[in-house]
Amino acid sequence: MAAGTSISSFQSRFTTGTIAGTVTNIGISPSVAEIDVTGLSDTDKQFVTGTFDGGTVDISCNVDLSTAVVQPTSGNSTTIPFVVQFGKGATGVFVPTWGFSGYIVKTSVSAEVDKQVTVNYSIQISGGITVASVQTA
Amino acid sequence: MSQISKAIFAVLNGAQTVTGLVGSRITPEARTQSAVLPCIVYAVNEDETSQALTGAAFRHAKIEILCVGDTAAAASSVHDVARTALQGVAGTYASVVILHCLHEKSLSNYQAPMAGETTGAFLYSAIFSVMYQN
Repeated sequence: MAAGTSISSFQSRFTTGTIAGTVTNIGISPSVAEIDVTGLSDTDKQFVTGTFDGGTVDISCNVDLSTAVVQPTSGNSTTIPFVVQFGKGATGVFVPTWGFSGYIVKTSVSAEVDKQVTVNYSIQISGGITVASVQTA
Repeated sequence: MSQISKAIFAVLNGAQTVTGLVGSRITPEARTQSAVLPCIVYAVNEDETSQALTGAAFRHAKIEILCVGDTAAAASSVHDVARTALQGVAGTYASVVILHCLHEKSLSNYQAPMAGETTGAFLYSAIFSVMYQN
Protein backbone atom coordinates (compact mmCIF):
# COMPACT_ATOMS: atom_id res chain seq x y z
CA MET A 1 0.00 0.00 0.00
CA ALA A 2 1.31 3.44 -0.85
CA ALA A 3 2.29 5.51 2.16
CA GLY A 4 0.05 8.35 1.02
CA THR A 5 -3.08 6.26 1.52
CA SER A 6 -2.44 5.42 5.16
CA ILE A 7 -4.17 7.20 8.01
CA SER A 8 -2.34 8.32 11.11
CA SER A 9 -4.12 7.53 14.36
CA PHE A 10 -3.24 11.05 15.54
CA GLN A 11 -6.35 12.79 16.91
CA SER A 12 -8.60 9.79 16.51
CA ARG A 13 -11.40 10.54 18.91
CA PHE A 14 -14.99 10.18 19.99
CA THR A 15 -16.89 12.93 18.19
CA THR A 16 -20.11 11.74 19.81
CA GLY A 17 -20.21 10.32 23.32
CA THR A 18 -17.91 11.17 26.20
CA ILE A 19 -15.11 9.01 27.48
CA ALA A 20 -13.74 9.96 30.90
CA GLY A 21 -9.98 10.22 30.50
CA THR A 22 -7.36 10.91 27.85
CA VAL A 23 -7.78 8.22 25.23
CA THR A 24 -4.68 6.32 24.14
CA ASN A 25 -6.20 3.36 22.32
CA ILE A 26 -9.51 2.46 20.65
CA GLY A 27 -10.30 -1.02 19.36
CA ILE A 28 -13.53 -2.12 17.69
CA SER A 29 -14.01 -5.70 16.51
CA PRO A 30 -17.45 -6.61 15.14
CA SER A 31 -18.10 -10.15 14.01
CA VAL A 32 -20.82 -12.30 12.63
CA ALA A 33 -21.87 -15.82 13.48
CA GLU A 34 -20.68 -18.41 11.00
CA ILE A 35 -23.02 -21.32 10.29
CA ASP A 36 -21.65 -24.51 8.83
CA VAL A 37 -24.04 -25.75 6.14
CA THR A 38 -21.73 -28.33 4.64
CA GLY A 39 -23.62 -31.31 3.27
CA LEU A 40 -22.46 -34.90 3.25
CA SER A 41 -22.00 -34.73 -0.52
CA ASP A 42 -19.93 -31.53 -0.41
CA THR A 43 -16.21 -31.77 -1.00
CA ASP A 44 -15.54 -28.32 0.48
CA LYS A 45 -16.80 -26.66 3.63
CA GLN A 46 -19.77 -24.39 3.07
CA PHE A 47 -20.77 -21.53 5.37
CA VAL A 48 -23.41 -18.88 5.65
CA THR A 49 -23.38 -16.02 8.08
CA GLY A 50 -25.78 -15.53 10.92
CA THR A 51 -26.44 -12.56 13.17
CA PHE A 52 -24.15 -9.55 13.18
CA ASP A 53 -22.51 -8.87 16.54
CA GLY A 54 -21.04 -5.41 17.06
CA GLY A 55 -18.89 -6.87 19.82
CA THR A 56 -17.17 -4.72 22.39
CA VAL A 57 -15.23 -1.52 21.95
CA ASP A 58 -12.06 -1.59 24.04
CA ILE A 59 -10.76 1.82 25.06
CA SER A 60 -7.58 2.60 27.00
CA CYS A 61 -7.22 5.95 28.74
CA ASN A 62 -4.97 7.87 31.07
CA VAL A 63 -7.00 8.91 34.09
CA ASP A 64 -7.18 12.69 34.29
CA LEU A 65 -7.13 14.77 37.44
CA SER A 66 -10.62 15.84 38.51
CA THR A 67 -12.28 13.49 36.02
CA ALA A 68 -14.33 10.73 37.59
CA VAL A 69 -13.85 7.26 36.15
CA VAL A 70 -17.17 5.94 34.81
CA GLN A 71 -18.43 2.63 36.16
CA PRO A 72 -20.89 0.23 34.54
CA THR A 73 -24.48 0.60 35.68
CA SER A 74 -26.91 -2.26 36.18
CA GLY A 75 -30.39 -2.54 34.71
CA ASN A 76 -29.64 -0.10 31.94
CA SER A 77 -31.79 -0.32 28.82
CA THR A 78 -31.02 3.06 27.26
CA THR A 79 -28.04 2.87 24.95
CA ILE A 80 -25.51 5.67 24.63
CA PRO A 81 -24.69 6.85 21.08
CA PHE A 82 -21.00 7.01 20.12
CA VAL A 83 -19.15 8.01 16.98
CA VAL A 84 -15.44 7.34 16.59
CA GLN A 85 -13.45 9.28 14.05
CA PHE A 86 -10.25 7.53 12.97
CA GLY A 87 -7.59 10.11 12.20
CA LYS A 88 -7.60 13.87 12.18
CA GLY A 89 -9.15 14.55 8.78
CA ALA A 90 -8.69 17.79 6.86
CA THR A 91 -10.10 19.58 3.87
CA GLY A 92 -9.97 17.05 1.06
CA VAL A 93 -8.71 14.31 3.40
CA PHE A 94 -11.50 11.92 4.25
CA VAL A 95 -11.18 9.70 7.31
CA PRO A 96 -13.60 6.98 8.41
CA THR A 97 -16.11 7.25 11.22
CA TRP A 98 -17.84 4.38 12.94
CA GLY A 99 -21.09 5.09 14.76
CA PHE A 100 -22.78 2.75 17.18
CA SER A 101 -24.77 2.65 20.39
CA GLY A 102 -23.99 0.67 23.49
CA TYR A 103 -23.32 0.46 27.20
CA ILE A 104 -20.17 0.58 29.28
CA VAL A 105 -20.04 -2.97 30.62
CA LYS A 106 -16.55 -3.12 32.10
CA THR A 107 -14.17 -0.68 33.75
CA SER A 108 -10.71 -1.57 35.01
CA VAL A 109 -8.41 0.93 36.69
CA SER A 110 -4.72 0.25 37.08
CA ALA A 111 -1.91 1.94 39.00
CA GLU A 112 1.67 0.78 38.50
CA VAL A 113 4.92 2.09 39.96
CA ASP A 114 6.51 4.85 37.85
CA LYS A 115 3.54 4.87 35.43
CA GLN A 116 0.46 6.97 34.91
CA VAL A 117 -2.85 5.72 36.30
CA THR A 118 -4.84 4.13 33.50
CA VAL A 119 -8.39 2.95 32.94
CA ASN A 120 -9.74 0.50 30.36
CA TYR A 121 -13.38 0.62 29.33
CA SER A 122 -15.38 -1.96 27.40
CA ILE A 123 -18.47 -0.78 25.59
CA GLN A 124 -20.90 -3.49 24.51
CA ILE A 125 -22.36 -2.48 21.15
CA SER A 126 -26.09 -3.00 20.85
CA GLY A 127 -27.25 -3.02 17.24
CA GLY A 128 -25.30 -2.27 14.11
CA ILE A 129 -22.38 -0.04 13.19
CA THR A 130 -22.74 2.85 10.78
CA VAL A 131 -19.61 3.48 8.74
CA ALA A 132 -19.16 6.86 7.09
CA SER A 133 -16.37 9.29 6.32
CA VAL A 134 -15.71 12.91 7.16
CA GLN A 135 -13.07 15.46 6.33
CA THR A 136 -13.31 17.60 9.47
CA ALA A 137 -9.99 18.75 10.80
CA MET B 1 18.22 24.88 29.56
CA SER B 2 15.21 22.58 29.26
CA GLN B 3 12.09 23.12 31.34
CA ILE B 4 12.62 19.93 33.33
CA SER B 5 16.20 21.03 34.10
CA LYS B 6 14.85 24.30 35.48
CA ALA B 7 12.35 22.40 37.60
CA ILE B 8 14.97 20.06 39.03
CA PHE B 9 17.19 23.02 39.82
CA ALA B 10 14.26 24.71 41.58
CA VAL B 11 13.70 21.65 43.77
CA LEU B 12 17.37 21.29 44.72
CA ASN B 13 17.97 25.00 45.15
CA GLY B 14 14.88 25.24 47.34
CA ALA B 15 16.02 22.53 49.72
CA GLN B 16 17.96 24.03 52.63
CA THR B 17 19.51 20.65 53.43
CA VAL B 18 21.05 20.69 49.95
CA THR B 19 22.12 24.34 49.81
CA GLY B 20 23.47 23.99 53.34
CA LEU B 21 26.10 21.64 51.92
CA VAL B 22 26.71 22.94 48.38
CA GLY B 23 25.59 26.56 48.62
CA SER B 24 24.78 27.85 45.13
CA ARG B 25 27.07 25.31 43.43
CA ILE B 26 24.28 23.52 41.58
CA THR B 27 24.99 23.63 37.85
CA PRO B 28 23.73 21.93 34.68
CA GLU B 29 25.85 19.53 32.64
CA ALA B 30 29.35 20.36 33.94
CA ARG B 31 31.29 21.81 36.84
CA THR B 32 34.03 24.35 36.64
CA GLN B 33 37.51 22.89 36.88
CA SER B 34 39.06 23.41 40.31
CA ALA B 35 35.74 24.78 41.62
CA VAL B 36 35.05 24.64 45.33
CA LEU B 37 33.61 21.32 46.44
CA PRO B 38 31.17 19.85 47.21
CA CYS B 39 28.85 20.66 44.34
CA ILE B 40 25.99 19.16 42.33
CA VAL B 41 25.87 18.75 38.56
CA TYR B 42 22.59 17.69 37.01
CA ALA B 43 21.80 16.45 33.52
CA VAL B 44 18.89 15.10 31.51
CA ASN B 45 19.75 11.60 30.29
CA GLU B 46 16.44 10.96 28.51
CA ASP B 47 13.32 12.97 27.86
CA GLU B 48 10.46 11.14 26.17
CA THR B 49 6.90 12.15 25.36
CA SER B 50 4.07 9.69 26.04
CA GLN B 51 1.45 10.52 23.45
CA ALA B 52 -2.30 10.18 23.65
CA LEU B 53 -4.68 10.11 20.69
CA THR B 54 -6.02 13.45 21.85
CA GLY B 55 -5.64 15.53 24.96
CA ALA B 56 -2.66 16.24 27.11
CA ALA B 57 0.46 14.19 26.64
CA PHE B 58 2.98 13.90 29.43
CA ARG B 59 6.70 13.43 29.49
CA HIS B 60 9.05 11.02 31.18
CA ALA B 61 12.63 12.03 31.87
CA LYS B 62 15.66 10.36 33.41
CA ILE B 63 17.59 12.90 35.44
CA GLU B 64 21.11 12.33 36.71
CA ILE B 65 22.23 14.12 39.84
CA LEU B 66 25.99 14.03 40.18
CA CYS B 67 27.26 14.89 43.64
CA VAL B 68 30.92 15.81 43.73
CA GLY B 69 33.07 16.03 46.85
CA ASP B 70 36.73 16.15 47.82
CA THR B 71 36.10 13.12 50.02
CA ALA B 72 33.88 10.09 49.56
CA ALA B 73 32.00 11.05 52.71
CA ALA B 74 31.29 14.55 51.43
CA ALA B 75 29.98 13.25 48.11
CA SER B 76 27.85 10.70 49.91
CA SER B 77 26.39 13.31 52.27
CA VAL B 78 25.37 15.54 49.38
CA HIS B 79 23.90 12.54 47.58
CA ASP B 80 21.80 11.63 50.59
CA VAL B 81 20.26 15.08 51.04
CA ALA B 82 19.71 15.50 47.30
CA ARG B 83 18.04 12.12 47.12
CA THR B 84 15.76 12.99 50.02
CA ALA B 85 14.93 16.37 48.49
CA LEU B 86 13.92 14.87 45.14
CA GLN B 87 12.36 11.56 46.16
CA GLY B 88 8.58 11.67 45.86
CA VAL B 89 8.42 15.29 44.74
CA ALA B 90 5.14 16.30 43.11
CA GLY B 91 3.93 19.80 42.37
CA THR B 92 4.72 22.83 40.25
CA TYR B 93 8.34 23.96 40.03
CA ALA B 94 9.57 26.62 37.56
CA SER B 95 6.17 26.39 35.79
CA VAL B 96 6.61 22.63 35.27
CA VAL B 97 4.07 20.25 36.76
CA ILE B 98 6.03 17.36 38.20
CA LEU B 99 3.71 14.37 38.57
CA HIS B 100 6.29 12.24 40.32
CA CYS B 101 10.01 12.01 40.89
CA LEU B 102 11.31 8.59 41.87
CA HIS B 103 14.82 7.49 42.69
CA GLU B 104 15.94 4.59 40.52
CA LYS B 105 19.56 3.89 41.41
CA SER B 106 22.81 5.40 42.61
CA LEU B 107 26.45 4.65 42.04
CA SER B 108 29.74 6.03 43.25
CA ASN B 109 32.94 6.66 41.36
CA TYR B 110 36.25 8.49 41.54
CA GLN B 111 37.49 11.05 39.05
CA ALA B 112 41.25 11.23 38.73
CA PRO B 113 42.85 14.68 38.78
CA MET B 114 42.30 16.55 35.54
CA ALA B 115 45.02 18.56 33.84
CA GLY B 116 46.28 21.23 36.23
CA GLU B 117 44.69 19.65 39.31
CA THR B 118 46.54 17.95 42.12
CA THR B 119 43.59 16.09 43.60
CA GLY B 120 40.76 14.14 42.11
CA ALA B 121 37.10 14.18 43.05
CA PHE B 122 34.74 11.66 44.55
CA LEU B 123 31.48 11.24 42.64
CA TYR B 124 28.14 9.91 43.83
CA SER B 125 25.42 9.99 41.20
CA ALA B 126 21.73 9.25 41.43
CA ILE B 127 19.27 8.59 38.62
CA PHE B 128 15.67 9.74 39.00
CA SER B 129 12.63 8.92 36.90
CA VAL B 130 10.51 12.03 36.51
CA MET B 131 7.01 12.19 35.01
CA TYR B 132 5.91 15.74 34.20
CA GLN B 133 3.80 18.05 32.09
CA ASN B 134 4.49 21.56 30.86
